[in-house]
Amino acid sequence: MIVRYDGRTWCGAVADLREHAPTSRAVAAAIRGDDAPCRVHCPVPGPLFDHVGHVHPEMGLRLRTALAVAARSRGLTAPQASEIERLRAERDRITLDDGHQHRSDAPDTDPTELRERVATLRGRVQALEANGEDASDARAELRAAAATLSEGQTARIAAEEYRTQTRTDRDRRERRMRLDDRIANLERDARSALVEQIREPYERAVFALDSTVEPFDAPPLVAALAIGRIGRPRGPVVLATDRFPSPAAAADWIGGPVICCDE
Amino acid sequence: MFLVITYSRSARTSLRNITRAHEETTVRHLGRAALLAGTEFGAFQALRLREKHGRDVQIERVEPFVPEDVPAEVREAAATYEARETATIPYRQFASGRDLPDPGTLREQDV
Repeated sequence: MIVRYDGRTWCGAVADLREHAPTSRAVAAAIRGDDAPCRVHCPVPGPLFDHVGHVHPEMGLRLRTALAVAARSRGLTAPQASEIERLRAERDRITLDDGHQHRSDAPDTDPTELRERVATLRGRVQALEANGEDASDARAELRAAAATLSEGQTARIAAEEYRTQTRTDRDRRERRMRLDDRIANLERDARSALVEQIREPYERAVFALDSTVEPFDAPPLVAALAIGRIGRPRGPVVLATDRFPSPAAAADWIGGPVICCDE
Repeated sequence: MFLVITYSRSARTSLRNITRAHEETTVRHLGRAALLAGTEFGAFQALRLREKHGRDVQIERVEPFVPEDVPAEVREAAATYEARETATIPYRQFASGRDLPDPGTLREQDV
């Protein structure tokens, strides 16, 4: 690990930035690769870094989630993993059309009535023509009625298509939500399974730090340090705590590089 | 009233938040769906969901139902069939031979 700040450089497993200006937040940002006043060259942090990579007194921690991530960082897997993967693939295969839909409604006119009217008019035209009378008005009426009937049929077909499409789209969305629910349930089960697998080393680590706290009710800072010790955080851990006698002791306890800051 | 049906986990969560925050506008909450009051505020909440979650939200306008809204023969058919003696007889069979509409006719008639 190489840390550069304000013309100075720290190399190795320990960087003691106390009494230099960067806040632990800025250092954590630098490790993530965000804009920051200092630069940290280190392996790209894994997912565990987001949970326990920045340890400070005001931190929050979703303990069970972090423990599951730590278990995964140690190469442990949950028995639900393959089923989750299968369901995710199934879910991702569902394609949805998110474009705007044009609603189309069926006309109010009764098609049977219109059809009868067209037939009547046709009969009248034929009768007039057979008698050699002027059928032009009747013919115009017939044309108008036939046009209305045809427009109505087109609109009815469009409305039917709209209904079918909407229903198909909603069926797909419903199927996707069911899959999402099943995935979420399995993920919860997987998290519990992973927490169980890592429970003992975690409890030992908490006990080593503070024998008076209940491991699953430990303050976030204590829990985060314990998880940093049992997990494989990859990136360095940024510490803003005086719980260890020295930065070297902290690095030794966690078992990886640390960067110590004042706050 | 507005029937709001959600089709994603996030839309369902938003709907739950709305029905919890606005009990006076919520006529009934049923899991991933809710019946909201037919007021401008009910419409406002439904539209907010629609803006946020797009087609993962279905909004329908619904009306209270009274049996008198439908033809008498339909009501009679329902009452007679539910009062039948043989529980296992399907309606189609039950209707034939009696003065009751057959299911095909019922399906074709909008009310």
